[in-house]
Amino acid sequence: MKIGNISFNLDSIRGISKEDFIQRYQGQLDGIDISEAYEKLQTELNKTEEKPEEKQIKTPKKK
Amino acid sequence: MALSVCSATFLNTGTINCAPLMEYADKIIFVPTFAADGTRNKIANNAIFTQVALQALIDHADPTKRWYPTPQIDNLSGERAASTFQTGSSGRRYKVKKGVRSYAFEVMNMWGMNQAAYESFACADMSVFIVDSKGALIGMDAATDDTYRYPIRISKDSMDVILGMPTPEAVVKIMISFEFDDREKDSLLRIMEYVPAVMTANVAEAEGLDAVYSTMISNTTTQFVVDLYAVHNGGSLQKVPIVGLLVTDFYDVRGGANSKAYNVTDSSAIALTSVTESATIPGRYTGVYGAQTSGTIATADVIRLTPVKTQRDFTAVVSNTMAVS
Repeated sequence: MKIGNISFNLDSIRGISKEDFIQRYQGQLDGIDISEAYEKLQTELNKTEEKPEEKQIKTPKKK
Repeated sequence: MALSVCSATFLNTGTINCAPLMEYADKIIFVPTFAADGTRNKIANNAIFTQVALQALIDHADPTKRWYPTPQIDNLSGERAASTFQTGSSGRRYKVKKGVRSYAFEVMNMWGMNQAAYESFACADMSVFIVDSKGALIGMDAATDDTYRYPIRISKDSMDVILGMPTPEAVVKIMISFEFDDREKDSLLRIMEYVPAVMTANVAEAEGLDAVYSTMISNTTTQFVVDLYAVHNGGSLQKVPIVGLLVTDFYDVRGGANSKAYNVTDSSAIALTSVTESATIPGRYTGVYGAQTSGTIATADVIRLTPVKTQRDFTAVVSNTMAVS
């Protein structure tokens, strides 16, 4: 995904802390506040996070 | 009196209504006659020729299978010389051979490096597809099989590429001429019309690749910084930055996995966490190496970048490896 002028490999950046993110990309990011960029990245990471399949509970039909 | 062999296979002269006509040529697509593996380059004639298929041929990693379209051409001529006859003492004439077809055209506002590109075709076994003014693709059928459409073979060593100097009345241009191989019969020329049932590829708009070069600015155990650019006749002080690349445009190897670089020393792919396109220096990219699943990035390791993007040839970038320091 691309935020500002940086394109991220979501698989590789997953788990990065806000402090590490700011330290790594401070001064490089263009067109967006770095904290806002981190939040945007987290939102995208949450979207792509694997979710366990919801169990389908079948209720028996009343006869 | 027995029929001669050729007169025993008379072909019919009926005409089908609305048969497509070949229009004047608007573009030429150079294609190596043979790929490096020895096979003859061709396209299937029994399936719709799509835009995806066309782009794949233009972007082909193997230069011997790649298509090389010209821009629009002008001042075309394509006459076939008169056939050669021997005249006997009786006055009767006997056909010796057909004349050779010469083909010549000009590409306006091109010179220097563009000329060098076309000169690179001159000593090879090259062929051409003709793109006519209606966007149709014209090539050859084999005499006995119409499953494939072949580019028209150029007579080897017949190609000439000349610079036309600009004058107050004329723009700079490249004048290209060659002869068709005399094995190519005019009667086997065929057309693929630019209509949905035949060809959805917009060959009239096809453009050749831009060669991209790189300068490694720095390369550490955590990140690389590289400038990517094309060059034109203005030279190295007027580099044209290549912009818009994403982390997913970097591969460990062409055809491999994206969001990667490659450690040549360790023979292992390197995951990239991100690629930053500089906001101040166009064409400058900073790639951050992520945690590696195997091996580490150590000082003196040689790193290779393989960007892949349509309409770009990154061969020189792939060759320009850099050691970590």
